[in-house]
Amino acid sequence: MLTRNIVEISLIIILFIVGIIIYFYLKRKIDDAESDLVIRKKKEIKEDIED
Amino acid sequence: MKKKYRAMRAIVLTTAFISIQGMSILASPLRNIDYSYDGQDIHTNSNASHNNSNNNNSNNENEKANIYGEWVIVKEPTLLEDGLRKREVITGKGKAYIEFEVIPKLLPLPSPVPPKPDPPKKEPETAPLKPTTPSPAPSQKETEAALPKPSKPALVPEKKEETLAAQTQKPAPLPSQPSQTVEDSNNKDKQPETNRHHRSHSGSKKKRSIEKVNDENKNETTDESKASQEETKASRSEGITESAVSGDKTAETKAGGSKVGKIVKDTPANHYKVSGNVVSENKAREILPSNENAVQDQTENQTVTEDKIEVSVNKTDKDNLSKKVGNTVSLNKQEKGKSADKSFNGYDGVTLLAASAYTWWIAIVLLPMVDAFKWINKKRREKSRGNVNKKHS
Repeated sequence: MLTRNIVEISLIIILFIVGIIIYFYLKRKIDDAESDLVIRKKKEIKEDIED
Repeated sequence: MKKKYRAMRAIVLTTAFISIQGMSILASPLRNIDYSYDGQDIHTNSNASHNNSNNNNSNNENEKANIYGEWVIVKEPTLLEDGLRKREVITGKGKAYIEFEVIPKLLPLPSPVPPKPDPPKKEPETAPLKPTTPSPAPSQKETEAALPKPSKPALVPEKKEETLAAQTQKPAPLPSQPSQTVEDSNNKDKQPETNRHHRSHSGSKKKRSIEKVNDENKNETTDESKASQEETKASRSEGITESAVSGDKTAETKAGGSKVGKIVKDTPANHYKVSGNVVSENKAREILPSNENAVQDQTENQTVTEDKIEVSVNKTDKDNLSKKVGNTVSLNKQEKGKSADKSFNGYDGVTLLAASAYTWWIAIVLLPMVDAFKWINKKRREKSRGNVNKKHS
């Protein structure tokens, strides 16, 4: 293999890894947004209960 | 959204085009781009004077794929032993290997043959054999009439063979032949008359032709005997040189050097361009240590005046040679590496495929995810600010 080919393959591998990391991060955020779970503060919950 | 779909389509088409090209390159790894097989120059028993570099230069297609070094004589041929020469070949992929070729033995130079006189024109009527010793005329007529009549040009090589053998053997078979041929001729005469007439006429013609030929042959025999004697002298001198080869090595250089010099002169401009790994060279040297020692002894007196060639190897200077060869190898590697980088390899095709697939995946999967993430963040900000923005929006 030539150095040029080695550099190309290494760049592709790096980009692939970066893309995977971004994918998993975004997927987690989207899943959290789509989920039924709601993050609420204690004050709001207490006010609702009192109501 | 329409603009996004248009961009997506453009990306899809470009990636598809690139991937198709990459697949076509991968499907045909044996195309001439990378390398090609040339069966002519590999381990062919060519003559010593034959220069393959000219053939390589003529094949432009092979030059692009394979880079041939120049022939280097490892072992010079002699009259008794074959020689050996090698060269390095670099394929398009950067692989280097050494190619060895046997140089055939040197043939003894033929002595100058005297010009042939007129009798060669009368080949069908000429006598078959021409004994060097003079024989009585009538016996010759009978013998030559009965014996087959080969052509005269064959006599010259026959005499060469005879000169190599002992001359004393020649007269021995000759007396036996006349007795046999006389008997055959007598037997033939006893056959019916029709044949006798034909034979008599034909025999008379033959006799007449034979008489003419005999007179000429006598002259030829004298001339050819002289030539044969000269040939024997030349052969003996060559034999002496051959004997000297085994004894004195200097004699080899002198006697064989002239012939080797011819070989060298045929390739005066050959440069020892060693290209490839030094490891391969060391392995080749390990394989041929005995030959190298012999070559070293022979080449001590011979020195190559060219810049890059270092054929004159001293036994104690092997390390220096390896260093010098390594320098030349590195230089040649750089030169040839530059030419090889420009070529489009299969690895380039693979990288193109991977890049196209990656862009495809980014366009279809990641970009929507990024848009979604942006929208989520926007909504969260709106919530955190409260109903202020809603009122204004």
